[in-house]
Amino acid sequence: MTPPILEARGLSKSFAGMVALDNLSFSVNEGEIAGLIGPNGSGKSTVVNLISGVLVPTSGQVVMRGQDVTGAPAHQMARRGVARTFQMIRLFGTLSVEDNIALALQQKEGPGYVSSFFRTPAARRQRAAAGVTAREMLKLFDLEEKASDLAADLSIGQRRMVELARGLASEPTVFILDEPAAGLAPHNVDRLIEMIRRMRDEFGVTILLVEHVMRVVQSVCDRVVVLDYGQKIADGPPAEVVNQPEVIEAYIGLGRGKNA
Amino acid sequence: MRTPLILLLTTAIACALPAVLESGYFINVAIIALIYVILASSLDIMMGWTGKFSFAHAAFFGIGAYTAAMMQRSFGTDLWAHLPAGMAAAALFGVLLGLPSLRLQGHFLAIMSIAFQTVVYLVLAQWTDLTGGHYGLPVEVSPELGNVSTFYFVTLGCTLVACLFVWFLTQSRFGDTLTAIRDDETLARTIGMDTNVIKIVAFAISSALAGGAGVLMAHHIRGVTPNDYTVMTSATIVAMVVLGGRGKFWGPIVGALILTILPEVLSDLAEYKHIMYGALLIFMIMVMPQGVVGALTGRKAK
Repeated sequence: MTPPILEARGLSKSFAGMVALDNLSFSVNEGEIAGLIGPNGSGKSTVVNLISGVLVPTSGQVVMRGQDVTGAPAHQMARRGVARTFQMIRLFGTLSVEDNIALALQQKEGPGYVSSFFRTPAARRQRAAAGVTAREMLKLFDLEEKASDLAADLSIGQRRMVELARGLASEPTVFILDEPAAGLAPHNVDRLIEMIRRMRDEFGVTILLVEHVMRVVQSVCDRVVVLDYGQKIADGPPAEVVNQPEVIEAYIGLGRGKNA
Repeated sequence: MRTPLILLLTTAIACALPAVLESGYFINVAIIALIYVILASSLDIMMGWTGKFSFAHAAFFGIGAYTAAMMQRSFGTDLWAHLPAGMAAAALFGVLLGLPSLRLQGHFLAIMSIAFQTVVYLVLAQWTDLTGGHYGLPVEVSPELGNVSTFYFVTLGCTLVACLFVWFLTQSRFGDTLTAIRDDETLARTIGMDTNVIKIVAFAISSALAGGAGVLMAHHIRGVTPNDYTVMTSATIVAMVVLGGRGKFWGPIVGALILTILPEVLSDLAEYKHIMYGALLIFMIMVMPQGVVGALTGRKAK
């Protein structure tokens, strides 16, 4: 059997003694849309930051395709194919929408700063090609007419789509979506669900979806990992997981549980 | 490619200046203005493009100038040897300041740069055996550059090269990367940019150009004294960039020209120069944070 594309092995993280994540193990298989859910403060964002290289785990390992990548800095994780979006949308506000995407997809070809400085034909071709790819991506997300606008000038729904386009353009191995439905209007949530599906079905991208909005999780995820207080309390298909007593207790509480 | 053409045209016009300006005094002012154009443009790589405020630019300016003076004292070298050496020395110190700054953000970086500037000033002023202390060191100009008009042309040439370099740099992928770091450093890392290396390189380039300006200055005023390279000088360069417009090619150039020529025109008020700079800086940040050039060109995607 091929190793899972992404694995967390006994991941723990504490901040000044506060345990945010306690011995968490889970895996994401190739071509899967895996969900990561849990109440506020259950450690979801910490997991994302550990996998994307923003934080270094206190103990445990992050493994990609059987290779230990624990503690690799963010830019190296990006070059290994981990793309991500942010709970609070992050775009380069003073760059055009097209440049935001072109910049992300150029990172894999190496810097090329010198040839770009001297404006060599090869560098110009490369830049033009990046622009073309970026526009194709924007077309897919129905944003082609916004290509020349400043990223800061778009609406939240459009900015979220640019984030998705940016990640998809970099041809990621694993695409981590950190609460992509946060702040979106209902019709934008429908669009988000459609695009998450298409990214997997048409582009074969493996997705780790961290989400609060259960409608999104229920409709796209093949499998869901549930966190509570930094520990895994459930792992399985969404329809089964939501009926498990531990999950219900974590979310709603039973009056005698720890959330009471 | 329109900007480099305008720059070449401007330089061509500036070539006529010595013929028009009879008095050597005005040519001297023009030389100082050009040196400050290099300083402001190079500081803008950090301030405007990378978004890192630095109040240490005069330190790199001084390191370049003192490298020239000390090299000449020890080896009897001339301007053409001093330029690369002064730039290299300033770049080296730029990396030294850049390394700790990787962990600092915003105001803390600015404070760190003030500390660095102060340390450099104190070394220049106090290490008398090496630097000549408060009296500084003399610099002799080789005979073929002794004429003020000739030196003006040399400075003009150096300024043109420096400005073209900054333009090509900021319009290249390196410039895009700097902008990315300015807009959102976390995101820049997340899409695969090694921001630490980029920031160090940007520091080194910016400092190297300031060092080159220092070498020109040392030859122009035929000597170095520590008081030319204080935190006040750094603040003046910052004021030039803010006044002209951060992250705009013409911004620091215009700012440097205004703030070197204006005090000469209003020479009666020269004593109050720094008070006026301060007031101007506050006014600009409140009313026109994008600077003169920024306000004229507006905000648009390229």
